[in-house]
Amino acid sequence: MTPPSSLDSLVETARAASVRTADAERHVAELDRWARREVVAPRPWWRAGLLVAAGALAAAAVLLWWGRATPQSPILPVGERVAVVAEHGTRFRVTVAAAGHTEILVEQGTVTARLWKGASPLSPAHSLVLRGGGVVATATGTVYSLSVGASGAAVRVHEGAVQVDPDPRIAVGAGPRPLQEAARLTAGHGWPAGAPARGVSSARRLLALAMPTIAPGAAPGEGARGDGRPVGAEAIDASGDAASDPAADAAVAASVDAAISAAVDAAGSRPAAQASGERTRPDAGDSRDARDARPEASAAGRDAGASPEPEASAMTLAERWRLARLRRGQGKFQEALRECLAIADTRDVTWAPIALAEAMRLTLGPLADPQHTLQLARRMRSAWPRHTLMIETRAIECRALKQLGRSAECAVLERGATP
Amino acid sequence: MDRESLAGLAQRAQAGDVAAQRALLIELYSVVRKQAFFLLDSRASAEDVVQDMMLAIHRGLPSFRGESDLRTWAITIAIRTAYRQRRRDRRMVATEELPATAVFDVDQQAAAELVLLQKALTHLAPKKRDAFVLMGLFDLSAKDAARALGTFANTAASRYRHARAELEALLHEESGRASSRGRDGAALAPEFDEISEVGATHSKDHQP
Repeated sequence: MTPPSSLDSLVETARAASVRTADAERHVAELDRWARREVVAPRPWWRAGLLVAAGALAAAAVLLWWGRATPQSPILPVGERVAVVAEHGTRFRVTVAAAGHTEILVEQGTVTARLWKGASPLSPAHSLVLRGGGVVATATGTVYSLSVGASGAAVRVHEGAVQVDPDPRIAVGAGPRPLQEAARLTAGHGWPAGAPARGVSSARRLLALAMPTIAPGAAPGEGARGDGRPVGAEAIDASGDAASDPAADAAVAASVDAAISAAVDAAGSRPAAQASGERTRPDAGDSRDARDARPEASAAGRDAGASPEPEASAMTLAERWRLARLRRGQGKFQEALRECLAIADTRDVTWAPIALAEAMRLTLGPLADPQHTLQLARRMRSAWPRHTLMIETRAIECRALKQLGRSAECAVLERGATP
Repeated sequence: MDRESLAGLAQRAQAGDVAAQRALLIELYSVVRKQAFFLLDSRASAEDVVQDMMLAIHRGLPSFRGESDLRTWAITIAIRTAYRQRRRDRRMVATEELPATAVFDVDQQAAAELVLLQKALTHLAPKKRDAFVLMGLFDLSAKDAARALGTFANTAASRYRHARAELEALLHEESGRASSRGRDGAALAPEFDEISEVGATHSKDHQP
């Protein structure tokens, strides 16, 4: 054996040493097999789970984004028994808003409308007409859509029945899709057959609105004004008066057009109550008195004509209560009162008495209307006689009586009897 | 194979040329095999780690961007794989013999020298050994070696200098022992005595 070489010669030997080619080739061939096996090796289950979770998250994010990207159109009340939802980009005009008849002209886009049937014998029949694209769709209690586009008109009935007729104002056969003969459509059907179903989500929203509840058997004093006339009749009279006067009707139509166009353009930024207030009360200067004097007006009336928010009906009662408190905090006492009365009309066991009591506080305090407070107190006693808030109700009623110089009746109240 | 040829092979391999990929892997196999031979103390570990090194290179080849020398890149991958193997080896009782020279295409004398260097390296601290292997045997610059070792260039260079000095001292000492063994025939350093057997083993391993 030779003695160990120097480090440099060892390093040179190591650098020069090469691996046997056959060995390298065998190894690389084996590596190919290993690599292929690795590719086809089954993935652990948790990777699949992660993928599924990631996919679900992505889908949820897309849905959320989609939901934000396409905000819902506002629900616009038209009169006391009609509410409409206009899809974005829709042009329409309310041409008639009378007591028993509402007519809307759809120029472009889709309008979905709901007409509530009269819930009271005092309510006369009301017809709702959607006109546009050469057709007239008439309903007497239903939810349906009329779409007008480049290809003509299309009607879709979501609930109830609708009579579709050719528009007599337009020459027969005119338009891109003329209606040859009248047709009666029921829920789930549309005209023309095979047309895409439009306004379905709007119809769902309209169907979710509270039914009008003009109480037929209202308690004495409830639903009445100082002149003793029932509220429903008075409201109809008012609308009827407005509709019977052609000049007033034209003024109503013009104001409604302006209001609704603005509401549609602003995509809900403007409270629809303003529009409906202008519409149903041409004598707008007296609108505050009229609204305030009718605390027991129907829920439909509020849904359709006096709600402070366009989508108030879609809000939960707790949200509406918070809104009422917010309005009070902002000093908007009339709006707060309207919201409270709307909540009270729902007759919800939890929220209605609370809202009624708040309405009493508002009328007695900031609104300084003790007569109205007494009306509300009577309503509270009639509807919720055993509620714990009756104690406060009696106290408020007593203060209202004192303000009216009827302190003697207060003593009767304190004894637990009705004055 | 020089640097440019390797880079050309890598480009063709990345473009999907199977033959180029095969030639490249064979070339890199030679590098990592040698690296495992000098870095690891166990024959079985060396076999395992070569598999792992080659798999890592095979996987990483498509993402090689050509910003550095392919050989340096492969050496860096290989040394990190060797580190992992060392950590595994630390938990095991070292009973295995050193990696064999049978894989090298060298004569008996060269095989004996490879084993001598291999055994001398086992006397070094791992960090110095790594620095010496990369800079001394694979001719990496201090900067590249530092990148592969995860340290500073000065540190890598310092480790290399210390390793070299220790190896020279060790070989000098062994040289003296060999001289005295020549005089009285006594075995002085058992680990170096095995070197005389290397030639016989090397020849036996390569019987067809």
